[in-house]
Amino acid sequence: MRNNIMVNQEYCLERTDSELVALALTKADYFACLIKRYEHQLVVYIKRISGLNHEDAEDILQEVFIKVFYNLNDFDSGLKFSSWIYRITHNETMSELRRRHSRPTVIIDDEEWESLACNTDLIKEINSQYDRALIEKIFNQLSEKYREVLLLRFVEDLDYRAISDILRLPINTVGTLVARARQKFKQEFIKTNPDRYDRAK
Amino acid sequence: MTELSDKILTTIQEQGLKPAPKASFRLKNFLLWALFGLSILVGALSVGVSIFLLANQEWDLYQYVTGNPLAFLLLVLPYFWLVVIIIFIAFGFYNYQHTKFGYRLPLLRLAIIYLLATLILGLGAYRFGLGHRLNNFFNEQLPGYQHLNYEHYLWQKADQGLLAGEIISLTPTGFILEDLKGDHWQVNALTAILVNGATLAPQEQIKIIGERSDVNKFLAREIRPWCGCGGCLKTEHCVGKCGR
Repeated sequence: MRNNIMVNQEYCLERTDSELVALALTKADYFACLIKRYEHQLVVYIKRISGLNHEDAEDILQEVFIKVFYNLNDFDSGLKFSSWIYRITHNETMSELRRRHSRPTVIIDDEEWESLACNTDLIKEINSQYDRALIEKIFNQLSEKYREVLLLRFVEDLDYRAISDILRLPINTVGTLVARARQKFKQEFIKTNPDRYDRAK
Repeated sequence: MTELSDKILTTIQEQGLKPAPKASFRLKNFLLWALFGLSILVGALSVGVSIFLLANQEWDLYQYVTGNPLAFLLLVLPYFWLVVIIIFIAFGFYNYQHTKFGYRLPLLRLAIIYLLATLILGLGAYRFGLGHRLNNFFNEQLPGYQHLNYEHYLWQKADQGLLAGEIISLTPTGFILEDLKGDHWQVNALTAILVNGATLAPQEQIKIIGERSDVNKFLAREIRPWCGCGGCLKTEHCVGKCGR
């Protein structure tokens, strides 16, 4: 068992991510501040994009933090730390899914589905009542690249620059993907529910 | 401290993990940039050689081969160098996109910047004679390089009035020529005009425009010098004789 050196949590809260990275490079215990700051949102993110259970998501997260610690010197202040750690989390999760040969299933709660549908104007565009099961079904039929950007944009509430840095795509491509994803969603809805769409019109 | 952070810090301590040194990341990034620079350089030199080959092409020959300048252009394009350019474009893109912020530049903009850089540097390379020197270097050092050039085959079309080779001996009406395949021809040069400083003497390498009059007999109308290592290039670029 390691010798615990407690890091004052208040001290952590007052520091920016970049400052904590610099501190963690001098003393590993400060890395705990970064773990604490990001563990909840990242475990939720892993579960959202993979559909894995909490234990598996935590295992991935542990690998993520070990990787982040090992690569701390590679962190560039030209990038937000949050984008960097999201990128590593995203890649690690996708690698794990590839290892398991499983297709990612998006798991988000009721409120987030509704928010996704509303924020993307999907309900307005398809001129229909919110139907979670239907939205979820169509969303999961979209290709991975579209689901990724929709989740990051409308559920994680990240801006285009952050999404661009996480997925390593040009910012314009992110914008295009979001627009296409919404278009695809609408097309899928019309394709699978022509009656409902006609009635709604 | 949370349970997870404690677990992770314990793992870090037990395994003696340390952040990888900054120098290793800097080296990786430097290598990516260096390889990107190298790809632009090689691309530019390839453009330089391509411009040199096209600029020194004997375009008037289209009438003997295709009868159509565009079809002739497609035949004589420097495909070897075009392939080299494409390979190094792909190599350059790969390296650039793997630099730290390489993904931020849209592919189209990267392509335009890359092409402009290689074109401008390539024109410079041609202007300062690097295209010429590099072409001669490959002619001398790379076995089979001449065979990658369509011109090598162009001058083996006796039926279409194009013949090249080395003069073996002079005759009262012309000379005996050994062509690029090693066959001997009796050439009638009584009415031929000599251009670009071509001379008729044993061991001279020449190109002939004329017509085949019989089996291994050729009537020459125009004789040009076979220019040095460039094979079929214009006189100003002749740099001595090279093995065929």
